[in-house]
Amino acid sequence: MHERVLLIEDEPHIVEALSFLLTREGLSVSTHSDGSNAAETAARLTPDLVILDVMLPGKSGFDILSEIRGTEGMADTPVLMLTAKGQSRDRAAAQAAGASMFMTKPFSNREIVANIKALLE
Amino acid sequence: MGISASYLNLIEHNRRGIAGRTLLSIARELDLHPSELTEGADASLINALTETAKSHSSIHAEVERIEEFVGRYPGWAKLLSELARISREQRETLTAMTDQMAHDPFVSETMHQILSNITAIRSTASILATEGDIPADMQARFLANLHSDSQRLSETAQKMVDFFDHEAKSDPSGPATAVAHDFWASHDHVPPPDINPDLKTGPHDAPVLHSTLERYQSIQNAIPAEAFASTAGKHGFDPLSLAQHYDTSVMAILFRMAQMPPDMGFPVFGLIEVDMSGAVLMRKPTPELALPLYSSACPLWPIYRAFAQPGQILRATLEMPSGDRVLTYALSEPLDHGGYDLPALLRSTMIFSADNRVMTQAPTAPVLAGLHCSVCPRKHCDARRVDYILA
Repeated sequence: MHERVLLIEDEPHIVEALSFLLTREGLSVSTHSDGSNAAETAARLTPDLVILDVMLPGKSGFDILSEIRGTEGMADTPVLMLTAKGQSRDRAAAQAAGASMFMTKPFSNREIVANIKALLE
Repeated sequence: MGISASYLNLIEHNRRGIAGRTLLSIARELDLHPSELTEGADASLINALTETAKSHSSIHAEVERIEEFVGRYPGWAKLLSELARISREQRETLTAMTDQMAHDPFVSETMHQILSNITAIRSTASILATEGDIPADMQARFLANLHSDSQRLSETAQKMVDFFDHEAKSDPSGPATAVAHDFWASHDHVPPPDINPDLKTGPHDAPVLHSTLERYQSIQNAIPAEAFASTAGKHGFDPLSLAQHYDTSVMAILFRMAQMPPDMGFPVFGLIEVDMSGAVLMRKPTPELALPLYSSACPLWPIYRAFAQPGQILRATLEMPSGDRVLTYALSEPLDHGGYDLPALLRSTMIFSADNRVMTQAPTAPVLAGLHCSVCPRKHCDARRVDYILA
């Protein structure tokens, strides 16, 4: 059975590129582009891994992560956070909210695929 | 006089400085005022060079021979001191610009857009270059994405260049920290807990900063922070109720609430103060609400509406495009009557907080606002004056 990844990202061309790459890696990819009800989507799909952008319309990625962590059965789901700011306060906030890993944009395809595989192992 | 002939010779040739008892005894012998003997050895110049030497201690400048250096080569000493001053000011300006990069909402949003664009381009280009067997329709789609992303990147970068070009032309000022530092040095005052170094001032702005700092000091004296912290909680952090309790102005309470020491567990309040042109005179942003550095915030903020109703305390809930809400209190007051038939000069102040203890007072119907049109994604807003740059 394919492992399921939920990609929460509002930049459509990043979504297309990552979906293409991860599908080629044998993963099943669902996408969500709005922050306002992202946690509900995650609760409904219960994916094996969540890729979560920090800056989303409607709600911050940190708030979404807190909601995901409070969802039954998702307390330990790996969450890879993406941000366009590599500032230390973003890293600290991601860590405090319970992120499993934190990557800054721009990232390389090879790097993000390797990290996702490592988180799924 | 108790000094050797050879030491006196060194003094006469500015190879040794004189001070204290030696200076006084030589002055007495020569029937001169002590200051006449130190003439030429400019004390402020010596102090400035000493400070410069200390701040570059790795160079091991001969600090013990500074007086000799100043005495023998006054022109070079002044030149060195002047260069050190220019270098220090440029470093402060650079720090202020770096702060602006980190905190300005326009710069922050635009940088986020640029980096997202670059990520999409890099990822897509990498797929096209390294992945084999890409279906023709996907290839065409990725190429189209590359085209539109590169176009968007080019436009956003141009807007960023225009922004900084405008900033550079319109603001030749320096950081406020230097002005504040001078103020504290010349006044025996306790500095506020949160002087914000983001605010930049030019030479003509220093009086504004001074009056702001003096106002802080008078509020601190009249309403000490520790007692206020417990009293404010009992009054539900309500400014009007607190003004009545302390028999003081609501404006004083607004400033007191926004300038509490951070270790007292008091709700965090941000503050912004503007003059009638909208120019920002004072700012203290919070994580929930960034603030403009100079002007041009969202015209829906109550701080601007307060100018139409001087003296009336406006309480409103602001909801930002992110969904974050803050409770705001805004008030404008006249600085001066202006004279016969002249308009009064007004200044408007707004404090805000997202703390749960404060939000219990918030009106339920929010004002749907933003930071600035250029970074506000709200599509239907009558107050919009420029396009959303990230659209």
